[in-house]
Amino acid sequence: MNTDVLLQFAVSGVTVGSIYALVALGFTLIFNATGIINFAQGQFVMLGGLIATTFANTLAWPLPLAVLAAIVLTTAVGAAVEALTIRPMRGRSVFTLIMITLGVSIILETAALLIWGTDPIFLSSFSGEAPIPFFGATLQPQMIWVLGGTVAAMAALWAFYRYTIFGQAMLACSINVDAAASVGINRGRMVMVAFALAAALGGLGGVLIAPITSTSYGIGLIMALKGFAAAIIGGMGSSLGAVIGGLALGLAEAFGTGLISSGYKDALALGLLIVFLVLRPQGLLGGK
Amino acid sequence: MSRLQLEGVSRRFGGLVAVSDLSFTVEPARITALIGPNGAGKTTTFNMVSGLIRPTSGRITLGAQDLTRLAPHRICMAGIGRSFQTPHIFGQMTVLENVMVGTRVEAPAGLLATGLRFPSAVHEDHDVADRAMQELVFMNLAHLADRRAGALALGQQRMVEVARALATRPKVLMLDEPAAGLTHAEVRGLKETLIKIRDKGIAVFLVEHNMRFVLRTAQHVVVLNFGEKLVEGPPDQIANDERVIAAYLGRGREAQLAQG
Repeated sequence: MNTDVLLQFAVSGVTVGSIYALVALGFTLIFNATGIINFAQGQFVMLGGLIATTFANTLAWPLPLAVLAAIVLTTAVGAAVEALTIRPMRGRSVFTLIMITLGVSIILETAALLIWGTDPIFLSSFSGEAPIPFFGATLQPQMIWVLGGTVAAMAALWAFYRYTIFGQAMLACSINVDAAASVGINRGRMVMVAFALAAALGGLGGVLIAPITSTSYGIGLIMALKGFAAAIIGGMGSSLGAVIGGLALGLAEAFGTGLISSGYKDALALGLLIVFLVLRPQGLLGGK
Repeated sequence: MSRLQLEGVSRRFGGLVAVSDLSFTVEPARITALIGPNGAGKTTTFNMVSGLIRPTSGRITLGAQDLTRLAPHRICMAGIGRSFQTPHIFGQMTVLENVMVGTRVEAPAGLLATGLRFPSAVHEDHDVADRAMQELVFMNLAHLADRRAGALALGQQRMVEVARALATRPKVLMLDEPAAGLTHAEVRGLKETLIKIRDKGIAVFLVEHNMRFVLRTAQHVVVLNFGEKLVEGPPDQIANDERVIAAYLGRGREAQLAQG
């Protein structure tokens, strides 16, 4: 096995890992705001991709507009999920809320099945298909979009937390709810923003990856499991951990698939999840 | 100026009555202390005023506004600022950022309009950063502005918490055991600070164990025992009250009360 092949594994690992990182960041946002694990998180990836295919393929909108519309609509779905299913249950146990997110996940998946059917749908690549040589490996142009989009989203999220009053208020809320309330921060509003942002990240992941892997109504659950595994590996609650966990998981999958067998792809991810839950539940970066 | 008023406030936890039929007033420009033995219901009372716990019955008002059923962030907006027994600062943020988070209460409605500005942002936003800095100067914390709040000593963390509460422009500042864990020098500084805050016209309302500190600092003292108000009055009267001495310190320990 030569290094070019290994490099190719690394490239595809980082690409898929970027999407896992976006999903894991969504988990982190909602976990920090509410303490719950949002198992509907993967459905935002599914929705982003499928909504984009409707606008781009069916309605023949220009691709950038279709992508933007898909992310905006997915964000709105995230906010609606919070308003309709989480807010009315405020004060219930975390476990109850987690079960609700599982229910929401099934509802979204079923709705997508009714709207888009069962066939996988491709979104066209953002800038053509011509492969780009990268040392000994080849890059699809879309891979660069995936990486660039993910990095841009992370930078935006970091700047939001660091430099906006709203972001600081969200951070304050995640550090100490009672203290945040004592300086006038409305926790309910922070929770809604967390859901909206998490959905936006998921939707972005969905439109970025749809040209590479195609998308269909059923990808949400496995995306949620992978994103959850990434968040646990990195350390639940840590944004940097979510990114590291996502990339680590993507790389592990790519090398596992390439060197062993593609049949073990999901088993490898879930196996890693179990190993971490048993041996190092606080993840690579510690945290809560 | 508006006074904070508790009228017949009670709180039960299951069968346990933590606070029973409690009534008293916290006046503006005065330091009021709530004292009592452990488990007397002091922190429960604080948490009811700031909205973290709802009273089972009774009414809490600030001026004309009823606070009894408001959410904690609304109570803050109404003019109640507070600190916590163990400092609840935002450890990962700098001292200045901690206090800046306190100032945002000013614009509750325009949050999306003002909150999402990317002022390289907030740091150059004169309103917010300047106001936060003013509070740090007032609390003698300006030299710590850029330090990570979680790395400060306990006494400094308490003062950051007070600065953060002041940044919300409270009418009533509630401090839960501000002197606990402070050195003698820090306690003296705290007394001067509280007097400065009082002289701005703010009602200072504290729960405190340190009797000597209370008797020297407060103008009005409310004594709780087993969730009920035992007596209230000026400190010299409280210090010589037979019921307080019996209930709070036990018999034969008057000397301790005198010495603190």
